[in-house]
Amino acid sequence: MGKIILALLFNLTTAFCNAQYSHDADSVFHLLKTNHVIDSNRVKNLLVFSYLISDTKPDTAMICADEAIRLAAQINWQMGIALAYRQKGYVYYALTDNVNAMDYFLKALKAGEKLNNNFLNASIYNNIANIYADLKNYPVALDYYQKYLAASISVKSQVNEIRALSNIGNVYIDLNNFSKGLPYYNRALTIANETGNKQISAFIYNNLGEAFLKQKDYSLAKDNYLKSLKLADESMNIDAKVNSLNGLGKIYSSQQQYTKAEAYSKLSLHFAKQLNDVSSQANGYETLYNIYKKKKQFQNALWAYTNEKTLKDSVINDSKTAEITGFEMQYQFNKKEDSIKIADYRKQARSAGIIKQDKIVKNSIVAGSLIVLFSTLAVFVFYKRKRDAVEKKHESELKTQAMDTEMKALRAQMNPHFIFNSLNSIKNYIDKNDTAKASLYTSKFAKLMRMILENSERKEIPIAQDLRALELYMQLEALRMHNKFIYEIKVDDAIDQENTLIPPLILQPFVENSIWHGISQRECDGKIWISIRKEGNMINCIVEDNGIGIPEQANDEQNALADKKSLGMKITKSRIDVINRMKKSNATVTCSNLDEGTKIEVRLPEALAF
Amino acid sequence: MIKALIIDDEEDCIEGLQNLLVHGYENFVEVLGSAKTVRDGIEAIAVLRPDLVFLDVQIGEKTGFDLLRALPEIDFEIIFTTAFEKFALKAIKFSALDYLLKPIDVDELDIALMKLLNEKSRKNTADKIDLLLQNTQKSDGLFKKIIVPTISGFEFIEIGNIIRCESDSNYTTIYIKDNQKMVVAKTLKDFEDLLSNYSFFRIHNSHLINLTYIRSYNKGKGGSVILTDGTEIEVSSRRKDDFITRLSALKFS
Repeated sequence: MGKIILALLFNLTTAFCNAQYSHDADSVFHLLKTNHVIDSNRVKNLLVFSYLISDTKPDTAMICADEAIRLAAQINWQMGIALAYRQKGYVYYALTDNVNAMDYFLKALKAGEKLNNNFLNASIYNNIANIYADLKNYPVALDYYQKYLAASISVKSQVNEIRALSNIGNVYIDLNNFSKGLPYYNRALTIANETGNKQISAFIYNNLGEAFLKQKDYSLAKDNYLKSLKLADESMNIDAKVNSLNGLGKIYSSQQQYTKAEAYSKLSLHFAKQLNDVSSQANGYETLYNIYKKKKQFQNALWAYTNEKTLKDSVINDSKTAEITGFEMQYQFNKKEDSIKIADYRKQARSAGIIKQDKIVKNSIVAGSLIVLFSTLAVFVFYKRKRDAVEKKHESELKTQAMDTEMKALRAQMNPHFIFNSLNSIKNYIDKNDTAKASLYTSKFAKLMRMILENSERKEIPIAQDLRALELYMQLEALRMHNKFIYEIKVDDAIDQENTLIPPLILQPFVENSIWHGISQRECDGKIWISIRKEGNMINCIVEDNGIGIPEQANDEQNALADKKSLGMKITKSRIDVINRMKKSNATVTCSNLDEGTKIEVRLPEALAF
Repeated sequence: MIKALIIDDEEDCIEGLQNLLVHGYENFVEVLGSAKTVRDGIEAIAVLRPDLVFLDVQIGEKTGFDLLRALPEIDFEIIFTTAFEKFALKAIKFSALDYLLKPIDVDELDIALMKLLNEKSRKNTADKIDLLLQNTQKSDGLFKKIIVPTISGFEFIEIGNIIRCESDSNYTTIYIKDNQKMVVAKTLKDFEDLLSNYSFFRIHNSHLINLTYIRSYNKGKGGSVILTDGTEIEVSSRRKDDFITRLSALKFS
C-alpha cells in the first residue's frame, strides 16, 4: 500500500510570467486552434494543454510537448525549452517510462540550471526524486528531495516546501526509520496547517496514519486517519478520503472489530470506484479479504481475493515495469554518462557495485549490437509476461489459479534480473576490448537464456534439467571472474534426477549471492558446493560457499542497498510461500553463517513426475 | 578437408561463423564462400559444389527449405542454423537433421562437425531432406512421419503407426503396428518432447503411449490401460488426473 507521494507536478503558473492561463483543457485547445502566432505564448499554451491531458491522452500530450520544444528552440526562448523538456519528461513519467522521463528531466535541469530559476529547478528535483523513490533507490531519492526542499525554501514556496518535507518523510518511513521520518511529517503539517491548505493536510495526516499503522500503534494511527477524513471531507479531497477510510478499515480489522472494519473498507471501495482508481480498489479488496478470512467467511474472502487479484494484475505491470526499468536505467546511465554527468548517481552506483567499470564504450558497433540484443530480450520478457495472463472460469479453480498467477509473475521476475546482470558482463568485455571473450560469453549466455525461457514457463522441472542451467550459469560467472571460484555439484544417489521435480531456478539467486556478495569480496579463491539431498520426504537443496559471509547491517541506507541486492532472495522466499499455500507443505529457506562462508538450505517437499 | 558454404542473409552471422571455422577448424573445414539470398545460394552450390552447407532457415522473405526445394538433387551435407524458429526446428528434428542455434556456441559446432566427420552413411541425407520438405509443406504443423536413428542407420516411421514407446535407460524401444519394434538411440524424454502435440501421453516414467491405441482403462490407484495389441501398462498415480483429462479431450476432438 503506497503512501501518497505528493507528486502534483508543479504549479504551472508560478513558472510563467503571468498567471492568466486557464486550467481547462478545452479553452486552451481553443486558443491553440485560433491563434497561430509563433511566440512564447503559444509555447506556454502548448505546455499547459500537454500538462492537462498528460494522464488522459498521453499521445497527444507528447506531440504537444515535442512541438513546444521545437517552437521554443525556434524563437530561442531558453526558459521555454527547459519547461518543454520538463513537460515531456512528465508525459513519460505518466506513461511509467522512467528511463525517458529521467532523460528529459535531466535535460530540463541542465537547461534550467543555466537560467538560475529555482522555481523550475525545485520542481524538476522533485520529479527526479520521485522516480528514484519509485525505484526504491532511497539514498539518491533523499538527496534530490533535500535539493527540492532547499530550492523551495529559497523561493519561499510553502506549497513546495510542504511537499518536499512530506516526501522526505515518506522515504524514511519506507525505510522503517520512524524517528527520522515523523519530524518531517510534523514540519510539513505545521506549515500546511498554518497556511490553511486542508487538501494537503489531509494527505499528510494519512501518511502519519499509515506510519503509525506500520508501527502497530493503532490508537495514534486511528487519530490521524480520523483527522485526515475530517479535512478530506471539508476540502472535497476524495483521494485522501479513500485512503483514510481504508486505513481505518485495517485498524478495526487488526482490533477484531470486524463489523466496523467491513463498513469502512466498503465505504473506501465505494469512493475508489467513483474515482475509477484501480490501485485503491485493489487495496480495498485486500483489506476486505483479510477481514473475511479472519471471520472465516471463506466464500466472501475468495470473492474479495479474486477481485483484488484481477485489479492488481492490471496495475502490477506498472510496478514490474518500474523494477525492470531500474536495470534499464543502469544501462542507459552508463551509456550517457559521457554526455550528462550525474555525479550523485555514479557515486551511489559505484558503492553499490553496479558499475564496475568507468570506461566509456569504445567499440560503438559492438555496443550497438548489445543494445539490440538487450531490447530484443526485453521485448521477449514482456511478450512472455503478457502470455502468462490466466483466464479464470470456475470459482473452485479460482483460488489455485490466483496462486498460479502469482507464481508465474514471480518466475517472470527472475528473468529480467538475470538478463541484465549477464549483459553487464558482456559489456565489461566490450569495454576491455576483449572480443574473443565477449563472443564466447554471448553464445553461452544465449544458450542459458534459451534454457531459462523454456524452464521458467513451467511450474516444476526435473532436477537434472535445472542443474544443467545452474551449472552453465556458474560456468559463465566463473569465466567472468577469471576462475576465481570452483564449484562442485553433488546429488544423492537416492534421488532420481530425471523424475524428481523442483521449481525452476530456485537456487540461482542464492548461487548468485554466494558469487557476488560472498566470494567476489574475498582475496583468495572461492568454492561453491551445491548438494541435493533426500531427507525423509523432503528434498534439501544446499548452497554453501567459503565467502565472506553475511555482513552485519550497519544502518538504514545500507539496508536499502542490501535489500536491492537480495531482490532474488526475496522473490525466492515469496515463491516458497506460494508453494506452501498451494501444496499445503512446509517448504523452508534457511540461511546461516558458517565459520567461513554462508550456507543456504532450501527444503522442498519431494515431488515426483511419475 | 570439408569444403563448406555458408548461406545466411545476415552478414554478421556469416562473419561470426567464418571466424569460428577459421580459428580452430582450419585443418578440417575450408570455407569456400557465402551467399546472402536464396538465388545466390542456389548458384553458389552449383558452381562451388560444397560438401557441407550451413543453411539459415529464414533467408529474407524466403526460407532455406525453399532453396532446397529448388535444387534438382542434394549431394551435400546440411547443418541448419537458426535463432528461434520453433516450427522449422521441429521439422528439422523430425528429419533427424543437424542444426545449430544462433549465436553459435563453439562446443555445439564442435559436436556437429565431429558427427559429420565420423558419420558413415551419408546417403540418407537426400531421404531426410525429402521428409523435411514434405513435412514443412503441411500447414497444420502435424507431421506424418519421423526419422529415427537406429543401430544400423535411419528408419522412417509413420507416426500414426506407433503404438507405444518404452524407455530402456538411454535407449527407447518403439512398438509399431503389426508387431514390429525397433530400438532407438534416443531417450524417452526426447520422444515425449517431439510427440506431445500428437495423441501421445507419458503415463509412466518408462512408458509413452499413443492414446488412440487404448482398448480399455482399468480403474485403480493409478489404474492401468490395455492397448489394442494386448499389452497392459500401469498408469502412474501422479499422472492419473492429467491422463484422464487428455483422454477425455481426445474423445471430443
